[in-house]
Amino acid sequence: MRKPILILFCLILSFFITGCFDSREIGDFAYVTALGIDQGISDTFRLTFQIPKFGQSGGSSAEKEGGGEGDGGKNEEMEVITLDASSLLSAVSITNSNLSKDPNFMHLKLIVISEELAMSDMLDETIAPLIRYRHIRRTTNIIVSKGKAEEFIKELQPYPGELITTTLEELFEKSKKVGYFFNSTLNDVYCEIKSPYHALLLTYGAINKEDNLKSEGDLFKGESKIPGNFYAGEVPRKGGPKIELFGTAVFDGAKMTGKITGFETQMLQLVRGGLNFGPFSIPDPERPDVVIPLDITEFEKRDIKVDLSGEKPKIHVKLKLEGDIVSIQSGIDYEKPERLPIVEDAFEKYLIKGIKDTFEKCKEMKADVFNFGTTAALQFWTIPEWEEYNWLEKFSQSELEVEVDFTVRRTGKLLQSEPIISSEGKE
Amino acid sequence: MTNEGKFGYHEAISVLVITIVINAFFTSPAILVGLVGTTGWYMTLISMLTSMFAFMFLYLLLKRFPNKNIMEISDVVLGKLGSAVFLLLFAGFLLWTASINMREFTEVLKVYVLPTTPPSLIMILFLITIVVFSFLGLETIVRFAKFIIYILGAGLILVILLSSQNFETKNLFPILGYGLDITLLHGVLRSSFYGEIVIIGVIASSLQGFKEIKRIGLSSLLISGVITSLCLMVFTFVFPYNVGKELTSPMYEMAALINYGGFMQRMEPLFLFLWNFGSFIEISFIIYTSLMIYCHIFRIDDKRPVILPMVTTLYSLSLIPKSIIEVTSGFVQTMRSWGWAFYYIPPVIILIVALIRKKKGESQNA
Repeated sequence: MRKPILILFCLILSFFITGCFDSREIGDFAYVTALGIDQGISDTFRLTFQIPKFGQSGGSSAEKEGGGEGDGGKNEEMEVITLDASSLLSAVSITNSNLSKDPNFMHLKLIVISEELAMSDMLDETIAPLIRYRHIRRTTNIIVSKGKAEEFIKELQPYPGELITTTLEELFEKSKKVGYFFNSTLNDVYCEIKSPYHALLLTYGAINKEDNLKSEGDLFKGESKIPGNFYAGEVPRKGGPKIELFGTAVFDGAKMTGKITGFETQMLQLVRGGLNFGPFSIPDPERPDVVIPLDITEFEKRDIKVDLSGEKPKIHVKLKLEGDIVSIQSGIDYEKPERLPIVEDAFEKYLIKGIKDTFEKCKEMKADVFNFGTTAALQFWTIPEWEEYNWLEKFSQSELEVEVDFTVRRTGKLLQSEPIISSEGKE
Repeated sequence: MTNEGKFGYHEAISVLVITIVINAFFTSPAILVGLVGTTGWYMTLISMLTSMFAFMFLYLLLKRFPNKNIMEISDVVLGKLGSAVFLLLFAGFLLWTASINMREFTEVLKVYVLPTTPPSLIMILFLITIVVFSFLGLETIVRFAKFIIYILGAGLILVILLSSQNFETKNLFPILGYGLDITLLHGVLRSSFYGEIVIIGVIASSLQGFKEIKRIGLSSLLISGVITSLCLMVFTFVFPYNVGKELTSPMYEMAALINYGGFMQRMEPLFLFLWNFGSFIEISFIIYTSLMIYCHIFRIDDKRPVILPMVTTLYSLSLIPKSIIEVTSGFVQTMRSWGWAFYYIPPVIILIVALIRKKKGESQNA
């Protein structure tokens, strides 16, 4: 008698676990991959949803000619919906009433907020509450866009042959490789706007209108510029994706107080430890019109000390790096052991100046972008003492000393440089 | 009375460790950060030491009455009426603890995983497992605990290792949090976190003598303390104190942050596995011990007819809190801060009465 009852019980139980009555198929949802937030006109916020059409073409624009259409507003593989609403939830409900699919944020990869909104002290009202929203993951990336977030979302396209989600994931991975922008997530926003240790940093992005690549004018002469010393939207280029991530938006609390360039971001990433290897180019010490590209790697973990004994906090940073010479444009024989220190010294000075300049710029913004606060906190016994000290306020009075120890390990595929010979002899 | 069977050192430690540590996976760590800031990881070690001290009274009592469990000792020391009142209070407290833990589990599951499922359905499915476990008996629960603890342990280690990408060790500073005095005070008060260790007194008859009980008790507390401390430490590494106190389930959030590119992300289902199996064992074990006490009080030999009414009571009690806030900041908070009075004081009272009334077991040297 027991066995039939047990079997019957198990059969009845199966009705509870099927979930048939409210089952949702993958095709029932419209997956929002990017969300744009601007200040609204008819309501508080203007929200833009980018929804890829996962159809026969696999959701990528590979089948499209070249993957782009030239007109950003006509991204036929993506549906872009923009509306004014008081919150994300109300925007979703309004959208839901006109869309056959339910908007779903489980695969949201990017949130874009306009620079105007970021500077208006509304970050705690717009982004921070999103953390409570169950569908949105803390690992979602965040960008501050120059201009409207709506326009940025419209121009956001996948790399030919890829899904937009893969393109975005790979794009943000570049932060670790080149260091020209800071990889920020929703978790960073939430943790850092409330942090007594350091300031919030967000990726800075823009649409490159391709008007920075001048086709007319005098040819460039003089000392070469610092590579990457510009903001998103200013990179002199043509072709490629319309959007670009370059530089970093700096916040004091929840308000954007300024931005730093791609080069300055590299400097802060070196100090924070977000860039353990990467390419740098320094002006040739003996021919400043050309550069020496170097591939550098962190040799030893950076050493940061904060002295709080005086009136002003004194910060000491020591970086130990090693690297390879990738090329010597001038052809000068720096490979010789007695001449290698010339390159090493030049690179050390280049970094010291870069870090100090970035530090001074951020001091004016009252933002500890270097994360020195976590080291300063080691000197306090209790949280009330630490909070009373108010590191974020003291940071703007601090002084920085930087020490860089750089060693050239390898000189690429050439061991030495022989001069070029012309009819005039050796150059 | 139905024989509960005998089981060994590993089985007992497994079930006790799971029962204690599972609480660290829910809302407790966040509340703890709100109270002590960055010091949760060593505050819990203070709680563990306090529990060890309190456990020694229970051990002395069990040593004084060899081969007897706390119910039998209570009968001898307090008399039948006194014992019935005392044991009813204790069984009621355990039932209440189980109901709060079950509601906490349901609420957290609803927040993160099953938002549209009615809480009652989650609870009913959960209770079916408890009923099955209860019908199969104590020995099955503890043997299953021993089987699953290795898998749960591996899962936890994996989550911690994978989370290391988000570690910021300096988040542990300022090292004294909101002050050493506050840490010490809460360390002692929140020894209730380890309070389930006293269940060892209820299952004492199934263990291999009082020497084994001492070994099991202290080992369970030590292992639970180290695991809980590790969990609290890694969670502080990931979430600074000012944010950690706001999270519903910090450990789950920590697992959700794991991101090693396209092929290694969204790892929180791993944590879900820890939640579910850990909670099944914890609540089944507590409910079963409550059932054992109840059946002892009313001299019921066959526990089976009492299982369904007991589980129905558990279900009803679980529905009392109005919201997750009432569960976390009301019931759970009260239980963690004042539960020690119910867990640790009764064995001390019985021991004192036994000493005053000069009551002893049959053979102290057994």
